[in-house]
Amino acid sequence: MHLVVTGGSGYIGTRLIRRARDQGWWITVLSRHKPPMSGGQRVRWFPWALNKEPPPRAFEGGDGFPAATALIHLAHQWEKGPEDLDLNREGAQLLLDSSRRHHVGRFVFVSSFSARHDALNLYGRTKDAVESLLEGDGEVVARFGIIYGGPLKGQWGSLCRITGLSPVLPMVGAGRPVQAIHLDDACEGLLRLAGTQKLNRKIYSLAGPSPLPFGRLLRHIARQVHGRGLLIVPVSTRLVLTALGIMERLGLPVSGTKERVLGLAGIPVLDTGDSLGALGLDLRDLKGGLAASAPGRLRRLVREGAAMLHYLLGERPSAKLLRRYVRGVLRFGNATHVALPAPVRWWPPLLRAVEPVSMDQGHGLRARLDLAARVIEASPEGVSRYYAWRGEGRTTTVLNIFLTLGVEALLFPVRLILGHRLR
Amino acid sequence: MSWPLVERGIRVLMLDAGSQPIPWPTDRPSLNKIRHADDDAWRFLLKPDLSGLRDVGDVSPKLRFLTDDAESETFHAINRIEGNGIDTVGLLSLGGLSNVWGAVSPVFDDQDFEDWPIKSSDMASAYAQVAARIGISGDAADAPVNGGGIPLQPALPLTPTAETVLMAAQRQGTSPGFRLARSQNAVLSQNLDHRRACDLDGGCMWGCPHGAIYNSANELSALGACDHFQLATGRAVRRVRPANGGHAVETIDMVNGSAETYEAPTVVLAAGTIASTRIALERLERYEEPISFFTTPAVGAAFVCPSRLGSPLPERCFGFAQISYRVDLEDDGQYAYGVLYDAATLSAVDMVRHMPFSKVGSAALFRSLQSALMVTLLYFPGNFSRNIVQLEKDKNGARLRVTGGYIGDIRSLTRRTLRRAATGFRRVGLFMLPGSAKLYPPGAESHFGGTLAMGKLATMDGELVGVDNLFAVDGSVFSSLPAKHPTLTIMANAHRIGERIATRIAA
Repeated sequence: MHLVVTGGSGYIGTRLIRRARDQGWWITVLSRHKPPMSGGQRVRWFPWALNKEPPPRAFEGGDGFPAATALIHLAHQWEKGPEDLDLNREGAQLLLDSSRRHHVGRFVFVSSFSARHDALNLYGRTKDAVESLLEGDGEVVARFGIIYGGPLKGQWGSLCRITGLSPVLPMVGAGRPVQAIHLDDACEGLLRLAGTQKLNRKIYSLAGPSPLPFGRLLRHIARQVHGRGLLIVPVSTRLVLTALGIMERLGLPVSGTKERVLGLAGIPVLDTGDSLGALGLDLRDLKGGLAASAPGRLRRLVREGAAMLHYLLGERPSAKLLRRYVRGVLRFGNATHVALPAPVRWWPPLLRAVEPVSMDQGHGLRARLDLAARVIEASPEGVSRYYAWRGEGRTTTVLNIFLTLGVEALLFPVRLILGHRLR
Repeated sequence: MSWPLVERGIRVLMLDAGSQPIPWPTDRPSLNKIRHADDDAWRFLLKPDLSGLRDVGDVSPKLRFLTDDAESETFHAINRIEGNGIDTVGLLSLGGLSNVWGAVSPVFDDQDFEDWPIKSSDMASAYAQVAARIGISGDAADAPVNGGGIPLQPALPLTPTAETVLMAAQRQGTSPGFRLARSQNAVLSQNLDHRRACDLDGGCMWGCPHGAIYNSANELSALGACDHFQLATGRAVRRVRPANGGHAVETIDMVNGSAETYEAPTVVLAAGTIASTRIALERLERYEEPISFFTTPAVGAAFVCPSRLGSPLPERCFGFAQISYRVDLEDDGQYAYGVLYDAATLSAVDMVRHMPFSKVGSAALFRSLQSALMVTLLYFPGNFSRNIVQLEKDKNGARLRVTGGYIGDIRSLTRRTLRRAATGFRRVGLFMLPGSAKLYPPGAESHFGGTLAMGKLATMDGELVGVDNLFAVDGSVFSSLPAKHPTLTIMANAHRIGERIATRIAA
């Protein structure tokens, strides 16, 4: 399978190429700048810009490359203002013509939720104009919501930057419902669109099916990436647009900001369930995805695991157990770390006195302790904490029961008071 | 239901969204050996991909071992099902939920069939044939609790705690309105075809390496050897529509998304109650119409047998339900049906997580109690549930919204019934642990039925009213859902309907 990617040196493109290469695709990148992994095995690069005819060699076989089977069009020109629309449309038309000429079976155009002929922002109108060019069999559109995660680039980089500026953030459209998708899920969706033989629709809307207010998304980013809360001060969109209009008339360069404000104001909520189902795409949850993108995450999880396992095991855990714990959390535990108080981290048996009384199985700390307990139950050093093979005789057993109940009764009020602080 | 058709020379094409069953390890040592500080224990208890660390909430702990994290989500997406306040559990693995079921296999009696357009005598032959084919172990003398009239393999030996309880019941009798017996399970005590008998390795909850626990995927190789049978795996059914005097079944390939349509004069839906209902209601064009259906409200509790405290854990035992019991409800002559598991065969963490103490305290308490501990799941008849399915139109076809609930005073009913059960158990030396009772959310027990009930939306042959030759044969056509585990009856009813379809086609 041979995939041609335009705009392969950008935020999505770089990740997409790595993922496609790992999945065994041969990749030709068409971009202005040389992407990081070009020249390696299975990846080649041809310089190209949107206003140029793509080089025919990009679609042809040779040097071990088979003929192109799919093209993902990521490139977008957005520096020049209103003329961007024509440039993007004409560039896409050139690509489409080449793709059809070379019988590339699949053309995937990367678009946006805001794509509409009457979109408030130029970006949405441009995407709509290109979408309307796709008419042939195998020509499909991937509309994305807000893409997050990965390197701090593109829109994701901007969101991380603004949420890290200050604990208080004035923001337009804080209540606007948005749908997000992790960069890796977005790339997987694109590759499925490129590789799936028969598709039964033209437009695939890819993002989390449940919208959340834009302000809450920002607060999640602040919490997971910067490790702190964020107070959003709502600002009227109309007021900001009026101010931007005045500044524009005064000749100040505000078109980029205005584009972003209009983009947010006009973003619709789309039903993504069908598209995700059709591609068999299972999106990671937002908190987990954000946590997975936070710097220092692994170190925090190892520290947490060491405390949890020590508490349950009664001794320092081995590296093997710790590794299993962290792998388990990364796979099933939404990857956020549980913030344990410093005294518990220093002396984990203290956790018994501050463990929450809540029986809510979804409780962060309890769920994590259950995971740690499963790791310990399946280990030679921990199994005897749960099972007494040979029996301990009735008298010892009854004494143990009363002793345990006594300690628990004494600890109960302490847990009741201190436990609710731990989540 | 394919067997009676294939045996009569009728061509059958089976479409299944799954491609392979859950791959349980075939080299798993016994549970006892694993727990005796085996360095490789985690490979069997957690699996190399650590899927055993998955949190599956209140549904079957075996669901933890799915290979694909997204299987449950994919099941819902592909079948266009949306649960609201209910666990609509389903699997796309070949064999479906029989990969993870508990294998309890009671037979419905006359009382259970009271609201059905058929009688227990109509089912007798089908029950017997299915039981002989899948292999059920138990004791015919336990028919008052488990139902009777089916061929049984000898009962499997009980764990010491279960044996103590049963002996006490035989010695002292049980209290009025409460009966208990050995459980009747679709687990082999003698070899059957290529499946080997249970070797009492205790690890049933981690999958049977010998195939002693029945899994419907086991039968596909034998069916595949028949000339008239063909299996197409990895194809999910999107829709059934009329075509050329018969039916067209539109499917989608689970791997590459390609669409393919199959035409047949007769189509049978056996995708599980919820998934079959979505397809059937869409074919019937019954949109925006609330249709009630049944689940069996379930409550869990723990009991301790003081005479077993401090005893060693069993070296060899069978790890599924040991004892079945029924408790008469206060009115209408109805009953609740329960099973008892020996805690020695369960994961300690699955028990500890329900205890209100600290994790360390709970582990210590469980360790002390384990040799004497039995855990029950008690099911109530479906008429105590309040569930609705409704097909809703959207731009891509239809989506089934499933809403779950119970009757208003379910908590008081379950409390009163558990109290009656506790009284019965006390007489045989089992004492309920205070605070251990827990009512499970709707659907957690995965017993669904009655969406296309025979006598309402379907005929007594499971044929959808108004659509010739389109049948449903799973729990969806149940006219009521008694407290007993329904799987054996689903299979027997499907077999009965299969025979009737075969007769009709032959005629």
